[in-house]
Amino acid sequence: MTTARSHSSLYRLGTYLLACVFMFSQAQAFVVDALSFALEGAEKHVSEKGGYTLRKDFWQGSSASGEGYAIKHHLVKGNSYWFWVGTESDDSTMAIAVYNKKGTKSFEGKVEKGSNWIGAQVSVPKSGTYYIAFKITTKDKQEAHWAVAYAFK
Amino acid sequence: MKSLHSLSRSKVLPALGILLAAPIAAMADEADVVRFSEIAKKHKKVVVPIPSEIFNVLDKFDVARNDWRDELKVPERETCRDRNQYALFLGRVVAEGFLAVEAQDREAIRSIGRTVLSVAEELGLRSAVIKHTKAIIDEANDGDWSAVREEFDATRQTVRDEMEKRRDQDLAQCVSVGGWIRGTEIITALINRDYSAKKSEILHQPQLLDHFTTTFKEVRSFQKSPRMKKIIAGLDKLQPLMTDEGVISKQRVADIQSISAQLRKETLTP
Repeated sequence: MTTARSHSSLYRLGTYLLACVFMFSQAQAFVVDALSFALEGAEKHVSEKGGYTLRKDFWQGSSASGEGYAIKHHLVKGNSYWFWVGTESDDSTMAIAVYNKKGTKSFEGKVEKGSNWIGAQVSVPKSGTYYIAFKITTKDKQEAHWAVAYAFK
Repeated sequence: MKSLHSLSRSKVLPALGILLAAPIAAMADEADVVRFSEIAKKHKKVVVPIPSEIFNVLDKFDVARNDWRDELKVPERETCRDRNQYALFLGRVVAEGFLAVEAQDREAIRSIGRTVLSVAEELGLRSAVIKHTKAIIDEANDGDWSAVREEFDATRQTVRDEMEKRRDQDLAQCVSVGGWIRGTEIITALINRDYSAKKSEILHQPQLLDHFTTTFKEVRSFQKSPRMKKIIAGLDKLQPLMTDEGVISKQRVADIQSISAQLRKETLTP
């Protein structure tokens, strides 16, 4: 016989699972949105005319509003890279920079911005590991979901 | 003395505006900038470049097609002892595929495509990989070399994604390391044929090596495997040769080539 207590437990578990499913699908939706914004920035560069090859992989996560975040990446001298960060958060201010391991920022090319994305072009003076740093400051101070994509030529 | 009331509104309001606007402008400036101090302590794993990124730079060195062809060592399908060994071997075979593309060797690509499929089958990845191997063979027949290269990249990515989906991260690392060892052997052989400091610059990879050795050392089951121990020892030997300090000399390139060739023979061949 199922007791009232276990009913309530089952109900709580069901609600929790439903919430998880909802949160998961919502998080997935955020990622898809963030990635599609990053790819919006990529579009003209990965076209035949732009000549960049897009890596068919991306990085995603979320960070507090105004909190800096970085992806560590081995970049090869001789390639030109574009990195794009997209977010689903509207009306946010975005910043991007590329640093070497000593914290020097001197090899950045162009920076481009769209409504929900920011991109930076980089050609490094030396092959090695670099930090692709970015920051998303949202208007409502809520955390921002983001996705990063990149291309090279 | 003028009282506050006596100050005209036209003077007070702009002054207040400036006072209030200053911190707002500073906040906007902070949002526009991401400083190194904000991210330096947040350690993350290094993103390993895909082979196409490396071969894209090698293309600029104008290596003769015959030189690429001379380095080609088309592997036959082999029986491995365990899944780690199959994953290492798969990484090596895919690296050979990139070399075959540079050599524009249709027969080698067809053979490599078939080997990739049979190794993927051993790892339970046949259905995920078959579309890529079919495309590799078709595109090689058409002579669309850049499409073949992209397809090898896609194969490697699909294999890694599938392994990660199945929580087989260790196997995914084996694929990366297998490809990296063979890739390093190929690159050093080519640089040594016509050495220049500009070319050897591509071998500055200390943090990438650090990433591989740290990851391998963290896997407990690898500690018990003589093959994996050999890989860790080999990567440790390569570390001081591939630092980011100074120029990588011809002799150092030869040393890197010799260690990676030995690693290939001892660990990537069943």
